[in-house]
Amino acid sequence: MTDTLPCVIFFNINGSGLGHLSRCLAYARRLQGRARSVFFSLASAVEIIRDMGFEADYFVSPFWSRSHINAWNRELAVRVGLMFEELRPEVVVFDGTWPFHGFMHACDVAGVPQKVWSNRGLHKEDFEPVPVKESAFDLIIQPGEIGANFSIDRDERPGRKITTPPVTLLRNNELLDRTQARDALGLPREGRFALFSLGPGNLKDVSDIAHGLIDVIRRQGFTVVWAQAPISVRDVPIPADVVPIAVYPLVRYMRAFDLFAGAAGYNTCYEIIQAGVPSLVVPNTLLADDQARRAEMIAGYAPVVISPCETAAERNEAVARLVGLESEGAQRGPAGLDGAEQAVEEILALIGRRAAA
Amino acid sequence: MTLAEEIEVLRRQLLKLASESEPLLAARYALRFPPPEQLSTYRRFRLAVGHTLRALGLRSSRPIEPWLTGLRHQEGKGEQPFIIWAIGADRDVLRQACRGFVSLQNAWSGRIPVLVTDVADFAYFSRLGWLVEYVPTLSPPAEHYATRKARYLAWHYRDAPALPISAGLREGVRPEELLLG
Repeated sequence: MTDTLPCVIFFNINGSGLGHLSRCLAYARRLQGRARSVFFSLASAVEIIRDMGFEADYFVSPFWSRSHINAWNRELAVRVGLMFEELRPEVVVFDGTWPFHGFMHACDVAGVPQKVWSNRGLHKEDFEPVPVKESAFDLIIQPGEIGANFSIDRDERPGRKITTPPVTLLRNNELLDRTQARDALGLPREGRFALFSLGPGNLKDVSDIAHGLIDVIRRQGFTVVWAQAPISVRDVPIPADVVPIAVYPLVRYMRAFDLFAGAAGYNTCYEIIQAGVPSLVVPNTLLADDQARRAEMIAGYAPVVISPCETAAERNEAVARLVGLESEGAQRGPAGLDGAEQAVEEILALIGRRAAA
Repeated sequence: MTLAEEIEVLRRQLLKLASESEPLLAARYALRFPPPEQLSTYRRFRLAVGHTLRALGLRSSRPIEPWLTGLRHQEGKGEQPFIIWAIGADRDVLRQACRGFVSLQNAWSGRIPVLVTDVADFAYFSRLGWLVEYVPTLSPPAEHYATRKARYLAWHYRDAPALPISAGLREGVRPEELLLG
């Protein structure tokens, strides 16, 4: 069956979390039955891709490799080129900030017919423009922030550019309700639980923030559950009474919890809106995207408290406000989160145009 | 079979695999790095002079940056790799072998491991701090992908000593038995 469908290869970079991979998975899930999706992942969470029903290869990220970027690009070109030769994709989707030289070269050599760049925006003001022309791509998808509607920012081809509403991995109806989620996680149906997902800690050490917050939230009578990131290179040491879980996607289970504390990455923010769980959002200021601004943007759509939580005073104040939000419960306003559906229709239209031509 | 014999058999297999690799694959994707588009006249002049001198053999070419198998978060300073060849391994057995290799790290002679495997157990591998070269099997029409990639990796790491996972499973292995040179 799959070999009769057009092939789409997703090339996701490895960011601070699983955002790029999750976005590609969101597209791939909406393509199911209409295209064969295969991943070339720089994030090492290959078993997650496989568990979701897709094939994948992995290549070490340039952020992890000690090789010079030129050596890494040389190697990348061969590895990804080999995949292009074997799969002969109709479309290759790059999700990341900076399309690598080795990737672009391999596309050219292997004769990849159509390239798509999924490039999340909301960069910080000091973000340097990337020296890759958008016209090198047939389609640029900008997964938008909350409130964004589908728009065509540039219609000329190549380089057609669209903005979509936020892209989420799961559809709203795929989230478990509180009881289902607690049963699935093996948590008692009674009791107050707070979920922590502060990122893998590979680029930013979250230990101090985590331990400080765990102390404050425990004192409020919550049992703390710690989500272990699948791409962590080392585990954050957690107290013995904190319950570790390792599940993906976390959003499926988020309604099991009375409170959530997490970073302000793209996916997490929109999963908070989907789940409607009162959340403490801790922006990571070390990254290219403006997480503080995104956190402010979602505050109109979900019960959230935003705090850097760097000091004990900030943590105490944030948790006091968070617990106050607990009674507010679910989502505050309607939010269009169907960006993945709209992006996929554009990808399929590309395939259709080529077939027609 | 003794460990030495197993190592010998594996290394012969990898030599054969490397000999079957496609010499044109790397050549086909050979990457050039064009100079940035916006250069000053002076920089363009310097580049042109350098290019001419190298073409005439009057200046040596810049060495190509080597492929390094170390990871930034890895402990240890070694840069010479050795290969743990784990194609077709069982996940739990491979975990056990990896624990064995970790306990043998004093015997690595300053080398660092590269794990070549078709096992997708990256949540575990990530915490080892080793480079992982994954060799997945893809369904048709890409059914030859795994073979082509394995051949390429055997060629790419042809100068690195390889070990079977059984080396990590044996009790009381002495450093010299690993034949890491």
